[in-house]
Amino acid sequence: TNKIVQITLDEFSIMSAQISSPPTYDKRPSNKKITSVILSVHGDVFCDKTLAYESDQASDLTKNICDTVKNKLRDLHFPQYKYIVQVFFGEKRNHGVHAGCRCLWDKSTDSFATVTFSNDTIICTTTAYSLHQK
Amino acid sequence: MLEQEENINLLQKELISFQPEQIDPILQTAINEVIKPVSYDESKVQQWIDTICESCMKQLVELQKPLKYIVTCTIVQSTGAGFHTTHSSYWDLENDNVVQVIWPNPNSKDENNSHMVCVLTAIGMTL
Repeated sequence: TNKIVQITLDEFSIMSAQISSPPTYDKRPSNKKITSVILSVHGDVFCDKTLAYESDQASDLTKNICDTVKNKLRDLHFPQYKYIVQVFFGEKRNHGVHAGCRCLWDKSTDSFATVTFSNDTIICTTTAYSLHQK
Repeated sequence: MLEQEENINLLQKELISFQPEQIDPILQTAINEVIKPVSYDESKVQQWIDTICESCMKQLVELQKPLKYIVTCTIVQSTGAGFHTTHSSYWDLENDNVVQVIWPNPNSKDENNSHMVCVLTAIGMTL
């Protein structure tokens, strides 16, 4: 039994060495790629540029945008990447809105993208983060 | 013997995963220190956001867990306009988590004159 355990441990260490090597630039979702995904979703949802804010629709619309962006990012099939999508959807009434974010991550493998759509009555900001998992 | 092993596994999990119960008070303190005493002021909002995010991040790092963090803060002046925030994620179900704090608490009955709403989100993800 000792021999069998030894072999399994060695295999495990080889596996973990393969998994933990950082991805090359083509295996990483770049800022441009994430931005284009969000832009395409915004384009579909806000195809009518004069869409007005309606409180009963707003909740569903926000969830729709959020889930669609996440599904499209997942379908890019970048190996070992996790995604977070946040959508802020508000009515414009001449009031102040400010947002900020701080991230503690690995600068070489992780990135994010933000896209804002606004017209006379709506402002919609979508932020997507992609993080690499070892 | 099995029970002991389970207990050890739970302890290990607590040490390496993002626990909402631990994080919620950190976020609440950060907001209360910066925003509770003041009213909405256009010239200072950006500073408040920076201070809140940085103090949250500092305290999260002090927990010394093997996690990556994202802290987002949104401050909206309240004029009766409606707004929605949503969050969707593709991650490790067991160990990654998100904590969101809305200030002022919509369920509390305290009077509040600060004319603003702050939404603070902290996300923790395993390496």
